[in-house]
Amino acid sequence: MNYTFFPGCSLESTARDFYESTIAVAEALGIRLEELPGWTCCGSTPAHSVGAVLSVALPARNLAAAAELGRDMVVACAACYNRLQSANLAMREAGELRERVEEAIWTRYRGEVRVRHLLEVLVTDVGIAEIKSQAARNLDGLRVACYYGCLLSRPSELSIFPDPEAPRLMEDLLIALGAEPVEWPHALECCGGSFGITNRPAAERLCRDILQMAKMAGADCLAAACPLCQSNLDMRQKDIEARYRTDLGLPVLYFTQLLGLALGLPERSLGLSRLFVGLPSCLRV
Amino acid sequence: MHFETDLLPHQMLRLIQLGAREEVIDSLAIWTCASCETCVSRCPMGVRTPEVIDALRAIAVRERRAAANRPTIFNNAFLASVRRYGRVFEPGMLAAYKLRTGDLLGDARKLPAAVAKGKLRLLPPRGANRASIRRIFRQVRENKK
Repeated sequence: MNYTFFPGCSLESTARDFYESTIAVAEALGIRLEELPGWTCCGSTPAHSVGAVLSVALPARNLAAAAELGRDMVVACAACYNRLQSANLAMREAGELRERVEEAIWTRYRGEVRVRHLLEVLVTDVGIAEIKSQAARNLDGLRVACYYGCLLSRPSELSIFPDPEAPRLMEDLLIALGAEPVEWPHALECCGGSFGITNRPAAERLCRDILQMAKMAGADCLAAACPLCQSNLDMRQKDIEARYRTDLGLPVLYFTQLLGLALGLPERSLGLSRLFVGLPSCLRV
Repeated sequence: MHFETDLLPHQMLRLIQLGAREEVIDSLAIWTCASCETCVSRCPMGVRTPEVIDALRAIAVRERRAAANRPTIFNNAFLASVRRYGRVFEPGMLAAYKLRTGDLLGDARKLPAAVAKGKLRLLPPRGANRASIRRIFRQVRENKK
């Protein structure tokens, strides 16, 4: 299983633990990830707030470079996944936008590269039965609130889930590993994204609702698939507790970190010490 | 972000249909949208509201009616970092954002921990194909002229 890997800016900084655990888990499961040489930023939300050409050209440049390598592209960051996939859809449609983007990237690109999210690759290409057979440890009834956020499921034409309103991939994976995902209504709510910087009170309110709901549902921790969500929920949790005079104490792990723990990978290789809210006690070795 | 906005998505679209240009472009709503895409994925009429909002933001920026708001300053700082390094250099981007907004203390208390936990890179990113990024930004600027 060989793939071109697009890490994205966050995985080099605020989500280094996501990067580390992705690499560790992939290696353990025989997924070969080859980083796209010279990859550049996907443009994220700022680019599409500025203009369509820029927002498509920034990801399309990476896709055109990946097209020469001829493999599927795997993305771990939900925001990069969203931008790359939506650029792919845009480049499959003839028209002025595509012409102007091809002019800007100096390459003909027509959406040939298959863009895949890591979660979907794990479940589809590796398979849940295979992952289960490789597990070294049972997650032993750990109650996890699987939190997907916005960018993996919306808009529906680029959703990685058969039913964008009822994603199940993390649940299926975690059940196989012995965890007990909780039923809760906030799996697809928005964490506020970059409002964490430009409008902290608003982002903290959205995050409080998510964390509080997870807690009410009886979760021991959250599983996240997006660097923006994870840092808003984890790094800002102390501030949220102070602002709302409430006690949350809910660890927010990347799904790759939980998977790595179940595979028996060393804590260091999963970047667990980088979490602001420490591991739930039942997961400590 | 319904608790912060002055127009809900359907109200915004109706105002556009009615030609209430200024009211929409100067609304808070186009800046309180978090681009969560919930509206478009549930709209029975298939209206692509997030793209409409992106277009309204672009108009507001072009007509210099958004220069002082935080999302615009953030977007500019973010894209300046991408233009320069090919990837986002968070400390540089945050410094530029903070200097322009005066929001110097926000999140400052978290900085030492973020650095200690290796969650904030201290050196600019390396390895990006910068030439291709510069070309894209140049092309986009020329197209606007």
